[in-house]
Amino acid sequence: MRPRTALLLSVILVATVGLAGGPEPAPPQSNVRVSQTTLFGRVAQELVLDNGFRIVLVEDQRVPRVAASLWYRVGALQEGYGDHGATHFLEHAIHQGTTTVGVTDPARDLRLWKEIYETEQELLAERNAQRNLLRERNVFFDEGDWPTTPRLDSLRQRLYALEDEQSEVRVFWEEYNWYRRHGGIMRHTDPVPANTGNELMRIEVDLPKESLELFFRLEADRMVNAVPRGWEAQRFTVLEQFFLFNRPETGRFNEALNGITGIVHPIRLHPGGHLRDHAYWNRASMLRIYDDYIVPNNATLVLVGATSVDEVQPLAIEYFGRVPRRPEPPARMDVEAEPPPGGSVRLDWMEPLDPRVVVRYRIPGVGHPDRPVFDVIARLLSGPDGLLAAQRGVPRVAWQAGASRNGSPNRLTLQAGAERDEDLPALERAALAAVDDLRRGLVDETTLDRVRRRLRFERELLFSDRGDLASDLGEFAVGDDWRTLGTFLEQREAASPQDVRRAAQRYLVPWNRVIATTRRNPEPPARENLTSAPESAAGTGGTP
Amino acid sequence: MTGRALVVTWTIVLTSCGVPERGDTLAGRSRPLLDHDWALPGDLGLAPSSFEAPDAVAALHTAPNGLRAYILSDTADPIVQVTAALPLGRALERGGETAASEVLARQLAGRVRRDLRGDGPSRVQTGQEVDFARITVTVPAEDWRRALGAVVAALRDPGLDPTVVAAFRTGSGYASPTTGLGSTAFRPAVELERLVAGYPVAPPDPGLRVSPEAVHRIARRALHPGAAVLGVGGGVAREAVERALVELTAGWAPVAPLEPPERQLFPDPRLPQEPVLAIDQDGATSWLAIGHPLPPVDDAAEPSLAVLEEVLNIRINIATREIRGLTNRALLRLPRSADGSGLLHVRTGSRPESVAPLVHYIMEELSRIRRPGGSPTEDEMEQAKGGLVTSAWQASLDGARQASLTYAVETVRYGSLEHLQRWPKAVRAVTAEQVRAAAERYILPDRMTAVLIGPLDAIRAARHPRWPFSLEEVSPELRRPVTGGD
Repeated sequence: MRPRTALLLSVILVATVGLAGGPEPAPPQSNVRVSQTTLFGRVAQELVLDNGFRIVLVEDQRVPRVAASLWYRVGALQEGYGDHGATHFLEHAIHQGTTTVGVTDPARDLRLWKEIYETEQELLAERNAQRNLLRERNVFFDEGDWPTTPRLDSLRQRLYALEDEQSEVRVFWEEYNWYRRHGGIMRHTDPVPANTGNELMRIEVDLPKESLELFFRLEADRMVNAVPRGWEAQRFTVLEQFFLFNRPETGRFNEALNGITGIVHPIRLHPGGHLRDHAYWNRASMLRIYDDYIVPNNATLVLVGATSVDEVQPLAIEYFGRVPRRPEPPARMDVEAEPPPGGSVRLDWMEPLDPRVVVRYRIPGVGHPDRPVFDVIARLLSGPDGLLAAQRGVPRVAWQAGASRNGSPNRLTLQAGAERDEDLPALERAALAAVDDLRRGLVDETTLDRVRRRLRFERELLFSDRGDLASDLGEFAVGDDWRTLGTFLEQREAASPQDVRRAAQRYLVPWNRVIATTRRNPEPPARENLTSAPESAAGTGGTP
Repeated sequence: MTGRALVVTWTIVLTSCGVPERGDTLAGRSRPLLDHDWALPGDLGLAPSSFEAPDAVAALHTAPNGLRAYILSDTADPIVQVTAALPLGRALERGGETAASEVLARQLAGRVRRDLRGDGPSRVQTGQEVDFARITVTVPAEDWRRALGAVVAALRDPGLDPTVVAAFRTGSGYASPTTGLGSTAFRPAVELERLVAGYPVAPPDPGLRVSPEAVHRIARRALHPGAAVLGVGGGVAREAVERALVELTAGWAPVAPLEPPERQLFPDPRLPQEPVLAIDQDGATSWLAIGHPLPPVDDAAEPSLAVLEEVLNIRINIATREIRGLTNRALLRLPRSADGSGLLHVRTGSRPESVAPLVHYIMEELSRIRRPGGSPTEDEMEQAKGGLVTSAWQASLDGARQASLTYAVETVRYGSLEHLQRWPKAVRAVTAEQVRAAAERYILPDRMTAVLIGPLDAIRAARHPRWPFSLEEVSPELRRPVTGGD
């Protein structure tokens, strides 16, 4: 468009808007493509709006309730340095209301938000300017001691004061309470009925069918008009979760284990971020994730229960249909673990923990034709009748084996706790021997048939629970395609001894393996090396 | 410009810009806010839930030997679930039987697992509270008789192994006795139970033995065909289950008359001299429980207390989590026993600097609701009632499997389903003033005790940068005398 024409159109537009007293609300879109697929005798219907928003619907009229499970394809995989864990934090931040919900004075609220945002920008500028004073460039792990300066302190106090003022116009937990008032059952009993992983964010509520519109109203609003109020308090709530899951005795070990497994790229990241990341996060980078990924063309809503296309379609058009399509999210879903597998990796944890051995292999994710057989392999290995328990000459322990389904890469994990540190070498040998049995094809049809029956039972359990089915369909929607769930379940129930052997020979090999141990009495203790010398701390200490 | 030209111009503008959005943008965002005319949630005009509880009267079947079973058939379900609910828990133990209920529950579950092993897929789950235990077996629908057979066989003969009984010692008490679940997070509440009430409100002390005779005695009572109640739900025909029960219970006659469950007396509450018991333990998270024992609760007050719990839970979390970021979660729990007796407490965890402010703000909320100005608002009442009835009550009866389980457990705990059936109406009738009165009667801010487990030196030294309370400062709040204002 030529500049003069653009100017003319702008003038006309402004004049028209002025005469009309503001633009009309966004009209609903009317085009919905409907298709259907059969999954083990159950009809699954897909509705796709013009803006890319997708709904998968499985009718189940037995109980007049509906499980609603909304999935976004976003997670730790999309985070860059300094933003690690920010998507999980975003999940909390977008559960603090919108421009119309959770607020009593929207105009004052937005003014305060602007002031908060600008104050934070000042704080970031100060932090960047003082970066050499503030930290030791990652030499030490000063957990729980985030250095600061008087100017930073002052700006942070200003942020706290502004958020306190914003609290005066807030209605806390309003979305959650509307759900509760109308019979919502949230899988998490806190105001954030959601969770975030390496490539997923999901929001799940089970509602009486009569209240389904509430989900559309609140979640469409959250998709486009969320206001991350109480951000500083939420930062500490997320920090508490981090301490809870990542800093108990076993948390640090698991974090290191995931790091060397390369669960997300680059290695050593996980959905909760690291302790220092809690200090780095800022509103601007979080809102970039929100604007890029929490969009209709990056979302799938799965509904299982007492509703129908006829009931859902008008709701979809009225609510999610009004949210404009955005540019396709800058997906980083195809990254591979680094460094590429090239040798068996070993982690012997140096902090005292109960003795345990973990043997891991990287495996493909859902959608890859080799993935289904790993569910079979995990069940062949585990349980009192499994290959791990059958190994001779080792102490009797409770072995566990499991295959993950989301993340990059996925992993097959074999593990057991031991009574004594001295038992660990024998358990490690037993795990490797059981894997070798798989590689040599020592799995008979009878054993495999037992596993197939187990898998069929698990599938029937899944399809008879509307919440679980909605979750699994959503998980596959973000991991690959929701339809893949059907083929995945079919293929794992049809796996042959040859399939097991082929997968074991290809993936369960030393160069693709991680072995980790924990001991009650490791040598030498490492505690002294975890903190920096007191005189090197630049600031006053304490969490900000 | 003619009208037509204006429309054309608008069309060009809209086509080039996409769907129009309000010009407002939240600072920091690249995407404009969406201007919409959606009704506020309260104005959506949502219809009441049409949910109805399955017909319990029609579901009840009594076998010739008196064993009752709620059978709820759902032919569309490929799964069947069998539950045995038993009057078995430490509140029902008698002299010399301490911990015998735990031993029996474990042996029953072990017997069922052994019977089902290697014979097709199944899932065995257990649960135990102070006044009931349950074993639930889930199987493919075609295997329903195998599951029912295993459960009834275990009730007839729990397979008590004298060597297992002899080797048993009571554990820490803060791991679930039948599932092994538990962590430091649960320890403060258990230690608090031990401190302010003792057994049977608290689990027995660690290291105790149980005699085989005690287990046999409690088994005779709990596994009596007139005491145990089954729930069978899912893809099986009712008539088939009835026929099977006749066969499976044949020859199973009670060896003694049915004795009605007899609850132990509620122990005298204790008020330790020190309001805080602090246990030193290294770790990033410190764990805290604050509370006091509750005697049996009047039936009439139970719905009000339930509403109170809902309201206070939200208030405490807004005060500690949402506004101040002191914790990830704080959980107020009323006792889960059928008569309402046990420990009322708030449980939470946090980093050291947040411990003292947590005590302060939790105590503030516990006191506030007792004051005239602290009564629940109309919104809070509706939210709480929705949570108790349309959420939790419906969830307990959601489908044939869940409803059959709930009916069996409720019958064991309350003697009938009357309590369950009148619950929605009773909750709906609660008023804000009744909630405040219940708070005044049952929440006693001057009789609180706290158990704190964490790195004590760090906790004592730490001061929150925004709410710099010390533990010494806030400890007296646990025993602050109740005044007229309270």
